[in-house]
Amino acid sequence: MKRCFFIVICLLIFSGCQEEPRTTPDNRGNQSLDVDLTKLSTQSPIDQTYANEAKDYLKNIEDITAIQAVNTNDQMMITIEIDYLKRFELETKRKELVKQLKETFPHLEVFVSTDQKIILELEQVEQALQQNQLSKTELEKKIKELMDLAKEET
Amino acid sequence: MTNKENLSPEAQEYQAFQQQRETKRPVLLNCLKAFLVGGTICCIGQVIATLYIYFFPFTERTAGNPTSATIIFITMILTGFGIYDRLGQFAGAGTAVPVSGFANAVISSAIEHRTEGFILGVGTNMLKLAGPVIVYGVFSAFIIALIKTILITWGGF
Repeated sequence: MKRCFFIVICLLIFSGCQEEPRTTPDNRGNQSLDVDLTKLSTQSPIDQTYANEAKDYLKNIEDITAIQAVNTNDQMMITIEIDYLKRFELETKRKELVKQLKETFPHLEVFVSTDQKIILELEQVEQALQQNQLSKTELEKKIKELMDLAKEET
Repeated sequence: MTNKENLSPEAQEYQAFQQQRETKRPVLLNCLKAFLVGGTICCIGQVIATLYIYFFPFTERTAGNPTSATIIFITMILTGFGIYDRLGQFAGAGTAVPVSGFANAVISSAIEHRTEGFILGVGTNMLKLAGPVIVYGVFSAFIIALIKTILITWGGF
């Protein structure tokens, strides 16, 4: 009886760690990787072409599930979310990505974060940009604030 | 521990008798209880950390401090009302390992020795149980740091 109970508990625990396929069929029935991202306007108030390019570049990389990116004239802030079971490799992956992105955008100061707080804040900035609620100075101020927050130590 | 061969036959007989009569510890069940209760405490901690991240300017890295402060505060109230003791009796190590166990050790001895005065009672006895935790915590941290340094310097990791 007790052994049965133990086995059931073990099964419950291990079945929770099953990996589900992260692909969804698109309209044409093809399987495509499902990455959560929003393309931003290239018009106002600061051209977001670089951020969009970074998203295009990152969405082809394995294990990334969501990308947020916003750029100012000289800085770019990117946050990524990766597959939950790959989080053990988070540190090495982030370093690798920072290196690649710095090579791709040599004229920008690229900052990559995987922190949940920065992800939330950057999502809000993206939404505000989509709805044209941010001016150029506000955006620059916000990005600077986020960078300071991300670098904060305990 | 004394060797069995050195004991008199009566003593050996008694030992066999008492082993037979002794209530067996339900080790597996105890482990399960500790796992579930300890896991629940950690889960509550995670919820608190997530709340700090969502509603206050804390990042994943900085949210740890206010979270343990909150858990310690909750434990303080639960210990004061005597609820944490019962939980500890039920779950054993499950309530001792998280930061709440440490808080309980400090607060319960502070309450216990209150009658002996604030300096010689509370002051001297507060860290009686928590002291070893700090000593061995610091000591094991030192050993681990030493191993890591050696591995990095000579092992090339």
